[in-house]
Amino acid sequence: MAEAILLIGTRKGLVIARSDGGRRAWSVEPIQFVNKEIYALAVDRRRDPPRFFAGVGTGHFGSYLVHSDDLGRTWTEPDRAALTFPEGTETALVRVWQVQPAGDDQPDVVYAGVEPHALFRSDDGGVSFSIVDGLWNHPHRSKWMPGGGGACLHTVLIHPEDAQRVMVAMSAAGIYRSADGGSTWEPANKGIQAYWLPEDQRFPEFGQCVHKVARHPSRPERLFAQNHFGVYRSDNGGDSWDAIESGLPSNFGFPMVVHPHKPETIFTFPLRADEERMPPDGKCRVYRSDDAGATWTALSTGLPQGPYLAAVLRDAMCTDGADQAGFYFGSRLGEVYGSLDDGDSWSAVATHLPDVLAVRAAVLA
Amino acid sequence: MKVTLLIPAPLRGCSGGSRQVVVDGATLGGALDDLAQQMPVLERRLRDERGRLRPHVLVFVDGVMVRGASGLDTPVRDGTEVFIAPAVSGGADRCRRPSRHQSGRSAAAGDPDRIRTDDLHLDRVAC
Repeated sequence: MAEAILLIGTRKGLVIARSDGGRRAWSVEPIQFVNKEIYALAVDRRRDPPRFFAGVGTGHFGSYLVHSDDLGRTWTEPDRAALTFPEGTETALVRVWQVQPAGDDQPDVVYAGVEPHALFRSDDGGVSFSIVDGLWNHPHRSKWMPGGGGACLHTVLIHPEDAQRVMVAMSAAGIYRSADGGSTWEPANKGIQAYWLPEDQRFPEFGQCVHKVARHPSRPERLFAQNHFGVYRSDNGGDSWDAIESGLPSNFGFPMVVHPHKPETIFTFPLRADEERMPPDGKCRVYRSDDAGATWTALSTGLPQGPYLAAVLRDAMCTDGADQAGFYFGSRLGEVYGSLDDGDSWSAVATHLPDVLAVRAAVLA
Repeated sequence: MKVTLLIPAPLRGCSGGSRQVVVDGATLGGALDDLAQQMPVLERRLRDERGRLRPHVLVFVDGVMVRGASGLDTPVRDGTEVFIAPAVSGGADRCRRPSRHQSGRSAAAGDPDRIRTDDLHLDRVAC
């Protein structure tokens, strides 16, 4: 019998909700990692059972990466820290922002993005990692600025047809890509505005505040980006970007999710910025485009109808990738909603949680 | 030198539930090096990968708080107790290094990095 699992990372711990393959009723388990922030979650489907990852942060005792090989019931922290800056960098890990398993052709490769801006790679399934020197030593690094959430490398995209091609996104350094497995990197921000800069400097080579980038594996040269002001699409692997924000109530937001079976369908959750960081008009609405950003549809059936003042953060929206795809998002009000009809209607999965930082989901046969 | 580390409740998951851990060393840093061999996960809750004490962890050697790089050079003796606590400053979203105002009101004579237990509102130390 199929089992659905939804990992919910919050500012005060990890909550796991489970359901059957129908995903109509969810059982929400007691919180784990109490009073620790969970910004990064991942499900590595290349293993059986899948390996779960959680980036755990404490206010006092540092941040660390754990994994689970029993579907989240127990977690392992290796004796040797999985993520640690090497000697010579004179740097200490601040926060784990992203864990990204590579493709099926690299079954033991896992990438991790951290704060301060750095990319790590594991060749043993995510038990131990090494820093990717090519990015760490990039001549631009000293000029990269932190975003509001910190100097975070929050997105890692591995090209589905060429594992040597890796793209990362960093706040507020922009998008960088490598064609040689991480040895060398070039910025890929052409066409993306940095609205906060003087008018004649708004298209810099790097320094844009990208919030999330996503792609569909069947069309790897097409990329979608939600930025700090600006929603963009690239049709050439990041060579250049065009705005696709017409029809959205705001071009600010954090998440960007691509439908697992419809490459033209994308989801985001706009916020009015910069001063408010709240949903426009106080309405809880997901926005979906079915034509790669040409037009947008507001989705609110089943979502709270009263004033709604909470944001949805960059990794707090996801899909489970199932044949009948489930979509999920969590807000900083501690509410998680799910949809089984591409967002046309939503229902609550969990409520009254701490503010949600990340969600990841899977349906297992 | 046999040194006893007093483990605060939030870290006892890393010490197998023990409230105390006995380690060997001639200095605080040496004692933590020994801890890294015995209980590596617990040790890195106290020091980062550069070997520095985490800024939001309070460490007292025989009742005297030590801070900064020189704190790890603090000598210890047989029977020394090392009291460890999370600082009240460390639970914020974006942590900053605790100011002297937060971590203690006056320095022990002759060493601005050493603060006496008596100088602190320990009832405020929580996690």
